[in-house]
Amino acid sequence: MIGYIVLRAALGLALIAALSALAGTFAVLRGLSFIVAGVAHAALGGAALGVFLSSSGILPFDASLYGAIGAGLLLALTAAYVGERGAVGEMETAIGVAFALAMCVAVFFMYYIPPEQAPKIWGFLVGDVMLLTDSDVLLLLCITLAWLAMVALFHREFTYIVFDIEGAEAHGLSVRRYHYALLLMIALSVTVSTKAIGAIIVYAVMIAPVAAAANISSSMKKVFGYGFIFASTACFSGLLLSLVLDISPSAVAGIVSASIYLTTLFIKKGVR
Amino acid sequence: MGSEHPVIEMNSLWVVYDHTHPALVDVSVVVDKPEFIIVIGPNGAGKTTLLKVLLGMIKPTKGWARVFGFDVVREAEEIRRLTGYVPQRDIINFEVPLSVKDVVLMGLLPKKRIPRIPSSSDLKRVEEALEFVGMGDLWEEKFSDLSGGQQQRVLLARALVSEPKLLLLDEPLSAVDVASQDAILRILRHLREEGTTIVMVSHDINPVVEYVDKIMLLNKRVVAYGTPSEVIREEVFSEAYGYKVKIIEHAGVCYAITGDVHA
Ligand SMILES: Nc1ncnc2c1ncn2[C@@H]1O[C@H](COP(=O)(O)OP(=O)(O)OP(=O)(O)O)[C@@H](O)[C@H]1O
Ligand SMILES: [Mg+2]
Repeated sequence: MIGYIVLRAALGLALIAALSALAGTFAVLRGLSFIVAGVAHAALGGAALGVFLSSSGILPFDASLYGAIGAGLLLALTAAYVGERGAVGEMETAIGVAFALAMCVAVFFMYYIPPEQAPKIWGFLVGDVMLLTDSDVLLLLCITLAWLAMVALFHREFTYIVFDIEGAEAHGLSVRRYHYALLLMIALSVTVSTKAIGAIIVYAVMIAPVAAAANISSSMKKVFGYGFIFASTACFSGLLLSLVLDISPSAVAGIVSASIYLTTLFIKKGVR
Repeated sequence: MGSEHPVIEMNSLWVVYDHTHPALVDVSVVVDKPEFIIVIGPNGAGKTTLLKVLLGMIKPTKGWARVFGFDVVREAEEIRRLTGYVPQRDIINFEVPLSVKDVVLMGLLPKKRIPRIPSSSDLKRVEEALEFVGMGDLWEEKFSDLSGGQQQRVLLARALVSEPKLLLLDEPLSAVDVASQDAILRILRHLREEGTTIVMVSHDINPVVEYVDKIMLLNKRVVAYGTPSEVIREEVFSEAYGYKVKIIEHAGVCYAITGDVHA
């Protein structure tokens, strides 16, 4: 049983590392690292709303995940709409506003939620790899597969968008649909990862490993590859250390990925 | 098709950002045959906006514009097939690791059907475009590792690889060393001789004045439009820039001395 739980945790972490390499790469290169924190908190607000609707009997099922996904997608849609003309700074502002709003919604509904339901919401903030469920892993798997299919088909289009969205449009690409697809997929990935293992570790592994990879890579393939290796290193060192010592895997993962990022910064500076 | 319609027609064209902030005011210009046109004006004069309107990337608030007879609002796709664009280099994200070859392919692949897989003839065209701008041996290099002038030439190759009839360039000479400036201008003159229309935004008129057919002096409105000798007069420039501009003549070419420096 313990073996199954550890195995499931390992599978979940591997999928999260893959999602970091995919969603994280495009978020970082689009100049939108902040969307990860924004969506994670929007998900928290959405989950609070969902739990409120269920516990007050308005909805006859557990709506926390639906609320989280809805709120994450709504934030991404808002940012995408604001950014249709390509202004990254305006998107960041929109994300900041939505972020604050979602936290207020979370606090507002927390007040009306029965205390025994509260952990469902806090799970979005500080999750536990060992508490992953089969359905979490299944959801992570589905989104990873969707990303792989999208990147296999459209990696050029997505790369053009992050490289030079105006040039891409001027040369005939319908940039709007790729712009929206990218932000919605990033939001979905962050929401589901957050539900699975908590926002803290998601910040830790979504941004720093791919930013590190981008520092030392000469092609997009390498960014994905190194990003996956770095994110896995961070996740698994967290998991392994937490098995032998009594420490938080999220904290370890965060420290490891930040260290990798700093190291690559020095390498990059050294090369120049 | 290009022969029946003027290359560019702009008729009482206005662009007003956010309902209050006019960037282009009542612009009416017709370019009826292939020419090399330079657009100059101070910061915020609407130069970039003008190029984006011609590409259908910004909708006119009032008035209309056509390129090769195609309406910029309804037929932007056709216009983009016939037009090459070199954006202001500072909008490019140098964190994205792309090879020179990949950057130039970007000028071809968006025009293809999904999945946009480069054919061997596409790669051949990329090679030719890079050779044309004198960058043939650098096509495996990482774009962000090149010098400013080399990057600008690669962006020019990206714009040229689809063999456009109209070429729009946004400050291709800024932050470019003199050798690359000359190389770029000679390429543009060659294209112009082959019948390509060129509209180039520049901050500095001096290096280009001997190459161009027409100068458009823009400061939201068209302050002056004509041949260099018609336009390069002190009162015209002073009106566009809002302060005194000195014109000096050297070896038959007029040079404008302005205090305007690009930010
Ligand atoms: N998307 C936008 N939304 C709102 N205002 C804009 C937008 N794009 C440009 N502007 C404003 O419109 C005016 C004209 O901008 P534009 O970029 O066309 O000028 P420019 O002549 O290219 O200037 P520069 O020499 O600085 O490149 C500027 O005041 C600018 O701030
Ligand atoms: Mg400009």
